[in-house]
Amino acid sequence: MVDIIMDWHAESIPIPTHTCFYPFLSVASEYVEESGVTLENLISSAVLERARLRGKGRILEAIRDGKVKKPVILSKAQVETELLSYPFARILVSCIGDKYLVRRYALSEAKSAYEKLLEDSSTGSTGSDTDIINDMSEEFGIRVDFFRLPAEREQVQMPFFDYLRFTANLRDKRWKLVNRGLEKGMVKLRRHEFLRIIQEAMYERIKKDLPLDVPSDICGAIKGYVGDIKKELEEKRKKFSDASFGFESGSEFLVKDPSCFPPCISYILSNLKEGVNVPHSARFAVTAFLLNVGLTEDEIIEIYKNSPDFDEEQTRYQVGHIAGDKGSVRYTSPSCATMHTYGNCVGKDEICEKVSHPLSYYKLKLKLKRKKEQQDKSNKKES
Amino acid sequence: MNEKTKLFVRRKFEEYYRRARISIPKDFWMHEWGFVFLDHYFPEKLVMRRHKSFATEKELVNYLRENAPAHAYHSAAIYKYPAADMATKGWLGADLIFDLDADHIVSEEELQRYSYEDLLGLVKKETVKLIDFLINDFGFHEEDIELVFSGSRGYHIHIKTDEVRGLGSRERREIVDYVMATGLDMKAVLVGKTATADYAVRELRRCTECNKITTKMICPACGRDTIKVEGKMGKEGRDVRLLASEGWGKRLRKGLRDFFITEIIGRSDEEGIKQLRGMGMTKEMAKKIVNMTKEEGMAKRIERMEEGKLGFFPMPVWAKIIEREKVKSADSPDAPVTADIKRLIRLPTSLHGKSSLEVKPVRIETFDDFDPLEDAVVFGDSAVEITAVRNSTIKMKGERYKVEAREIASVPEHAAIYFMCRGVAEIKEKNSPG
Repeated sequence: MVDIIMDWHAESIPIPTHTCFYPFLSVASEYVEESGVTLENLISSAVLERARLRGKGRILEAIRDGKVKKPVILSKAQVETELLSYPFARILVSCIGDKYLVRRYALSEAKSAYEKLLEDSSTGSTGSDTDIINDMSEEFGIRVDFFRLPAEREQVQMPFFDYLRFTANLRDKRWKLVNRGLEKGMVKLRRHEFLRIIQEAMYERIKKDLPLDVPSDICGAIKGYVGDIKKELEEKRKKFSDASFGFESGSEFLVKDPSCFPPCISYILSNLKEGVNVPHSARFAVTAFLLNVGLTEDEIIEIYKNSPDFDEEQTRYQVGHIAGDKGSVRYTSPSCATMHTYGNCVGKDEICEKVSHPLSYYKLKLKLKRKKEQQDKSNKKES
Repeated sequence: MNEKTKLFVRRKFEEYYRRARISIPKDFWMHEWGFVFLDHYFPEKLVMRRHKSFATEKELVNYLRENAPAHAYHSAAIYKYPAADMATKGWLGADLIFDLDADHIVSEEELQRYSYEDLLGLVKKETVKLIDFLINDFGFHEEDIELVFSGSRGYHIHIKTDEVRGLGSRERREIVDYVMATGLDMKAVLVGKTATADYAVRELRRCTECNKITTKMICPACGRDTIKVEGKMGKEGRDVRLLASEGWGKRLRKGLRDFFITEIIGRSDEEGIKQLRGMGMTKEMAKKIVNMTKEEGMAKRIERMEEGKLGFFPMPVWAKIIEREKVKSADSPDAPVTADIKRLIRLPTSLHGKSSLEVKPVRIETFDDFDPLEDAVVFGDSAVEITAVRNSTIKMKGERYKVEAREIASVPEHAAIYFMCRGVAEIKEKNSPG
């Protein structure tokens, strides 16, 4: 069932209800463009206050829950509010200009859209799921085919170029091309897998151009909406830095002292903290390192929570594997040579010259630090 | 290489570049070029003159004629400003390049044991596998795959379609991982189930020592032999794993069949048993399998393998099959050549300064018959006198040449230049005694 509603103040542009669930699609932005709502209206018109509040709400939800809830649509006005709230949210995100917020917001929007797609695809509430797949592929310029093997469910196939392009950030080994059915240049996928790839495409689309170059007078005009978001963001940051690293615990201070970590490990940690997608080899290195210096599995999982593709269950499994649960070997963090091979050797300093392993670096630096502290103490006593 | 030899080689290279028809890559003006000259540094120090670019074909051809370089390369990448320094070149895309070289296939110690001809044979085998991956799995058309003999111990493949040019380093890495089976997860290729595999049912056996019931030939508890008893384990139509019909699943189906046919059925019992034992099987198990291959039902079993319906195989068996099917050389762990989107690659139809052989384009249909030591030889047959510096041997154009240190020999020009470029011989001093 596709519900067409008419917009009453624009020149009767029909817009299917479900478009408002995917406000980053070109049909949605075309609609906004043609609806006659100007940037001026969007930021100041009293009629559009609901859209602005919803726009702010999108961001708050993204920070808080990592999701942007899809409302139940009851009226045409609501469709419009939903559609207009998206460009407003983009302006807000741009005015704040925080990189972490950009990623978090884009990921939350994409994730929620993916969940909506999955739901629609299983209930068939917006036409057949084949239609959804066709629409989405067309939107993102992916050539897809459908095929059915005897006694199997229908599958989707797409050219491997597109597949590689959109799976660049999916680190799980099941997404590796080597583990996919590839024949004559086409990659075979289950429907839900295809939709997961669409999530990646949506994420890229949403993140693209953010932060926008918004003139300062516009940012000034909407300052009233920014305060709450900044506060929420600050809180999230604080919570994150308190809970995540677990290095604060006074008694064990010297056992896990992040100030003595080698530059390569600190770099990966700061990337994870910023929500940058970190390559698999680096994740392995940092996980093994932190386990080796005595962090618990839970503490490490916390660190990954900011990752764009965070999946608690998977992370728990992988961290557990490196920790040597379930009888697997307990891994030692990779040596400097291995770090170098995988391009994870970053910010070499003079201590690096003396060691060949990140753990040796840590031990050495701890020792130097203790020595210095003792010296300082005895100097104090003397004086 | 002394100065006199160098001059001789240089004259010969000049002759070649004057007469040769150089294959000019499409969009040559967007590529960066690099050359090593036969100058006074050569060959002790290879000085690469890079960041060059050419606006016209004529300019490029003239450059080659004037300088007769020992080595000529162009970038895999195309750039907005190919002659600018790396940071400001403006990367626009890159051809997909595979570099298969004997160094990557065999270890350094092994390298010494093989002759040049053997090494060329080994690399050829890997190249054939790679081409099969590119056509059947990746769907490239034969005409888009440019196959080139590297002029030394390997082959290069260039693919220049618009789609590949946009691929980033990570995406290329995925392609290399695919052909090298890196990260292949057996769980991903053993998919689905079939209900028809009655051989999932195993016969029960009893240990002759401790009376334990098992399905194994050897008692897992005490290591003694077991004997067959009444009864079966598992039920008819129990789920059995099925190898996927595309991608690596398909390759493993074929690989398993080929392995059985060539390594077990096609060999003596002892060799077959040895193969299987090498894959972690017990002697008894290996014997049982070898005997099984002689049974009438074996043809049926092979057919089943082709359909991907399998019983249980231990991991070492899969490891062996994967080893046979994957491309061994496409890359080495610390030299991600294919993924390097800024690397230089030898210009097809140029000469290789360490062998004097042509970097020769080869048609895939005639690859089977291609013999670099015949087909990539560009120099003539007139006799040239050389003084050998060390022992060496080479078979060129069907003729074997062998030189010993300090020996003076008269060999055809093509062999003489080959030996000079290899650092095996110098040109004979005309007036020197002996």
